[in-house]
Amino acid sequence: MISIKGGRTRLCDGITRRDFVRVGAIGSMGLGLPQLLQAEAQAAQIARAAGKSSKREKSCILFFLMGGQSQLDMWDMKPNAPEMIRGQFKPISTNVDGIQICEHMPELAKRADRFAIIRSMTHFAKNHAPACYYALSGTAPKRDIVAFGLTADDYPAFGSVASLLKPATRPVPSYVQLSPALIGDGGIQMPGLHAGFLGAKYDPLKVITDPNVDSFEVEELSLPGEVSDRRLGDRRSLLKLVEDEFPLMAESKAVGRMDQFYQRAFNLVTSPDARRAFNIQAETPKMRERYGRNIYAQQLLLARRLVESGVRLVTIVWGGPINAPLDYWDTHQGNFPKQKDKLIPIFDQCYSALLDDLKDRGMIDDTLVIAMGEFGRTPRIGQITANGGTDSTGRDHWPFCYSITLAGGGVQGGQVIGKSDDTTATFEERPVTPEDLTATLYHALGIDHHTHVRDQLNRPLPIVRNGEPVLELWGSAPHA
Amino acid sequence: MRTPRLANLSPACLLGVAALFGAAGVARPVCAAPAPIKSLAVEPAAAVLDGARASRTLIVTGTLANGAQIDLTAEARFSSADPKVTRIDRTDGRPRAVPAGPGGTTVTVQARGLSGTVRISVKNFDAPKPVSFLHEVIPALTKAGCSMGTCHGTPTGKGGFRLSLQGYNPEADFITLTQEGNRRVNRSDPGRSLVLLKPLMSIPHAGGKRLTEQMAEYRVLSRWIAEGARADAEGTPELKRVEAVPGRRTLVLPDGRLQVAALAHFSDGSVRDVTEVSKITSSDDEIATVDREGRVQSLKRGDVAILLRYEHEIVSLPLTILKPVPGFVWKAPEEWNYIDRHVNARLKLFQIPASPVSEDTEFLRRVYLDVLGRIPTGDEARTFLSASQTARKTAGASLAGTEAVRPVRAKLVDHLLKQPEFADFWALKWADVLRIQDETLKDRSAKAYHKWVRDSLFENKPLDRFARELITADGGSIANPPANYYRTLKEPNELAEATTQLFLGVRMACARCHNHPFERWTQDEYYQFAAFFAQVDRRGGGGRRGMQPADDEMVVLNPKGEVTHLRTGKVMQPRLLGAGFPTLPEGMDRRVVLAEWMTRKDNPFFGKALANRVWANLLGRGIVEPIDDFRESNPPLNGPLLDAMGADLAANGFDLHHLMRSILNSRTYQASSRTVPGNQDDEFYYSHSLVRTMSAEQLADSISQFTGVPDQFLGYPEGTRATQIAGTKVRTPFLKTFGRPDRNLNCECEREKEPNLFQALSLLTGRDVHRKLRSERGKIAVIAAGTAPLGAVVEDLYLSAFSRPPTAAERRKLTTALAVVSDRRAAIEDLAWALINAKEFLFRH
Repeated sequence: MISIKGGRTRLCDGITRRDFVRVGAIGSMGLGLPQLLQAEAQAAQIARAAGKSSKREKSCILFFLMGGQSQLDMWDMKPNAPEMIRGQFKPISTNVDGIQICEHMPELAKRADRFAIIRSMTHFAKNHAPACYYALSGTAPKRDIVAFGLTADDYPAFGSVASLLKPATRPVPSYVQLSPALIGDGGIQMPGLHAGFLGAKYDPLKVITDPNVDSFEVEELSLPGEVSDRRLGDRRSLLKLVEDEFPLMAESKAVGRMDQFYQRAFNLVTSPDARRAFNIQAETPKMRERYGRNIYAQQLLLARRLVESGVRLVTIVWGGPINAPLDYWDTHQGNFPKQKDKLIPIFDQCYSALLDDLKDRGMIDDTLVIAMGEFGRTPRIGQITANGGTDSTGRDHWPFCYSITLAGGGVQGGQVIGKSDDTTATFEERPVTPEDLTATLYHALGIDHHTHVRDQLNRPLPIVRNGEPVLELWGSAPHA
Repeated sequence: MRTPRLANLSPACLLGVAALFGAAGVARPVCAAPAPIKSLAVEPAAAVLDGARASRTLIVTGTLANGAQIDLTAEARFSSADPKVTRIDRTDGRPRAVPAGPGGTTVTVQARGLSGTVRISVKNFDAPKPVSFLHEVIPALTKAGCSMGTCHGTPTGKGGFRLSLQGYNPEADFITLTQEGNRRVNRSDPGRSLVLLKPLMSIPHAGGKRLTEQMAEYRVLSRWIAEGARADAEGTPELKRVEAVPGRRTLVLPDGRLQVAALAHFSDGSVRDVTEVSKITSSDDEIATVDREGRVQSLKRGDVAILLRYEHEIVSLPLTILKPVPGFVWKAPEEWNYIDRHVNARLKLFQIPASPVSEDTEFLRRVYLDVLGRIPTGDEARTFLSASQTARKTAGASLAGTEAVRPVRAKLVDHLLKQPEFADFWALKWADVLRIQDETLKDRSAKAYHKWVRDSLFENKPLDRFARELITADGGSIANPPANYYRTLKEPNELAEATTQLFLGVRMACARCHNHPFERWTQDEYYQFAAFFAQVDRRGGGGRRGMQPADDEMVVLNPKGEVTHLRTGKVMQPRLLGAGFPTLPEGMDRRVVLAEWMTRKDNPFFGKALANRVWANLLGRGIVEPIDDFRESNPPLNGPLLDAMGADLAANGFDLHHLMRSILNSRTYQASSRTVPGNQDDEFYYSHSLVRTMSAEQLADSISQFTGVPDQFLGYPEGTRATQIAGTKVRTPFLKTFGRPDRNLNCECEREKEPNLFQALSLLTGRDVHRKLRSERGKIAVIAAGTAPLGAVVEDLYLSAFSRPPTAAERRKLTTALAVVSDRRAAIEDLAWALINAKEFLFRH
């Protein structure tokens, strides 16, 4: 185990905490095993019933870009707006007539026919934490304050609901979070990523080691150096010997359940198949280069491997506030050089590599990919909405109108949904709220967005309040 | 038939099939004629039917030869002496007398050869009796499910139609139904009203088909609309209470049927049978189901409550379901104290055999884990086991084995309750539910608060004083640590919810926004209770809300503070839960009055709620479960035991040690976890000790102790045990994986108790355990460096891991298995690893 002291946080909110962060930790209970075991049995049943041609399950990769991409600088450019608004970048044409995006995304411009842009995302939360909560759980935060903490009765993250209602049907976790730090645990409490009132067993499996590092491994799924596979085998026989002599333990249901987890744990640790999902080293160097050799790109590649092995939802959080190895999207200062030199090229490369990769593997139709932040950035450069540290070279938070992109999972690419006004200050057509977006994600996974789940007090609560899926993404008429 | 267990007949038997003989040649009534009854009673004996739409459910009860009651409503025959006055309607399966004309008559009831009568008088037959919105329409909407939380009762409504949850706000519902356009309720063409067409699915309805035209709810709604959808006339009597008939019952399987009915008592003294518009549900559908007409069908052994909801009232009818066990012979376990008397009574009633008394080794390990939160060391095990062996030898044949060791066990209990580790471990439990966490309190206050709780336990502060000091606390959060009670939560609402949940065993949260959906607490009562906390304020905090809290904050009173009702906006007067409005002298701290009432010896909640908490922590399951959710719709598994423990606690000055001694020295607590035939499935009645996972801290400390390698927690000196950590700042993955809560709720339920995969992984491959096994400072290294033969090593490790010596077979097999490993250190590491990973180690049993 490697333990490191957390450095100063770099989130613009100014919350500074030193805390104990453990690298290589795995979130507690992300696998939701009871459901998993059950789901496996079901899957086997379904497979038997359907012959061997059971259709691939729907999955989702959520590329969460903390701080939010600037709609004006990337997806919804306004070349005719005043310079203080339009900024320094120029639009370029894409392979779809009438759609222009930022000049620094040449690769994505060649693939605009494969993703849809929503230019009318809108909500009200101007601070990171409440906006993350809103964006990821689809539930409006009660207050829009900097120190919006995470609580046990939070609305669950989209992925937690998915792992409850559509658990993975293969022996892998349902919901995995890849992030540069334990976001949502110690250090900084970022709401919206965890299971909230559904309970910790629906929290994501959190992997915070850097898959770009050669020695990348997920500690709990690997053995300590001194313990060879063979020695583990010896230990297992010894354990069996000890337990066989104490048979009374077999009488309790709790013991029986723990025993099942032990069987599963032995399988995960010893079976090469189970290790494979996380084994990014099995990718060719060429493939790894294609995504780009940095943490987020490699997490995106890892996400593809995980989805391929049956994981239902992978969230990649670009923007760990603690020890974040790279800059992220919270561009209060140096908005243009940061985006031009670091953020956008990395994003352009890895996102387009993912789209190609999914297509090449025939996975694109079953994998919804969504790239979004918790909000966008201010129309006017230097305008202050939330953070007084924003200077004349930066853009502050802007939740009122921003852009996100979606691809795969049957989404019709090459379309723009919604319309902003001349400066992206507000939407002009087809507003899409986080509620709508969450409903959309459920829809993509085949989950009825009217479903109710129960909280700790056993109250039935709807997974989406007042949201309707953006059906235009799939070419249907919008919801009435 | 020599075994007259006549109630033990399948319904088919009631049709009268000849008795058969069991394989063993014993006469067993597999099927027989209906059991004869010695008497028959009809509920009610007399009834007044007021108005042409009144009705009265008739419930027929027979008494069997053995004194047991059996419901005969379904098989009884009814005849009215004058069908022009009253007739019997059985169309819904619920027999009821309905008026046919004015006058009086008698209904004769016959079953199993006996008969009884009911006097019926019909009045106001010809008087118009319009449908009451409040007393009929609202209940009908509830019964039909329209206003439930998953349908139109959800705060945002469904399909643009929003009702208050279960009709808690009739005024708003009236407006919704009658004033939002004319399609929903169509006065000019009633039959085209959407509220009628939709639930019939005559037109599409996302909620599906809810009603047929024959159902009472439909009749009520359509009639109300046909009459003009009017509000109730001024002076309409108010509902006073609802009565569930026929009252508490014991039902015997396989028959296990019962007809229930709801009677509403109104302010004008009238009584009306409202079964047809009451929502009737079972507290546990696995034990007994109930249909919309109030017909109960028992399914399996247990306690269950049938809940009848009418308007804002909810009443429960407790039932005990028995399933006779063929050939069962009750062997009374010993009664060591009053606890055993009550437990044994339930076991006898349900015909569950008790497991024998635990072995000394079993008891030893269990009591250390439950009282101190860790396993005994090898030395502690040796000391106790030798004392108990001596006691057995001294007693010789003159005493039964367990009787000889009871004093030795009692002595250990006394010893453990005095240990500082007891205070540490039980402070942890309180710290969880009091939410002692660093985020809201900050480090210094959190530590001071934790220390106060710990010290209170160490000095065995009476629980009433403990509660009073918390409830009435003010001043600085470091100088007077219980004042932190008012820093973990700040809003009067939150404090009301926390206080009722922690000390009264009542969950009020639902009533914040609407009347409690399955309990009697109303929204009014919620805000009235919250008013006790209206004047609590804080000074010197970190400024505006939402900013970082200060390390040291003053809790002060603000005499201007008031609580207003969420819906009505009215200022609420403090009212004691389920009791009256106390007199509050000018300038009096309201909380003092509350605390005084709460901790009175005769408070109906306090003693029982705390006894249940302590009991659940020791026995693994509360008598009421969840332990802080007492309500009529959640019946206790052993009411008399809970009453007795609550009374014991109150009578002994709320002395925690006293209650713990009563429990720990009971035979019930000391029963083996080994099951015997007939009690394997019992998880509710304490026939054997429940096996459960260790908590995160218990496990961490036990592993540290076993390996001799302490944990290092950030901000605490080396050697600090996990149970001693004050706040929540220490977040080790190991503790989190094993379910340590973040202390965001006032509820033990926040602590995860279910095993999970990551627990298995972290013990199997986890580096924490691995490092402790490999440590050069640890016990494994010391033993490996020594020269003790493997047999002795096995002996030693078994005693310190499992608190028992290995059996001869274990010793032999393990010694053999380890002898082939050339590396002595590796062999011992592997053995220690296997012991830690064994279920015998991981579980409290």
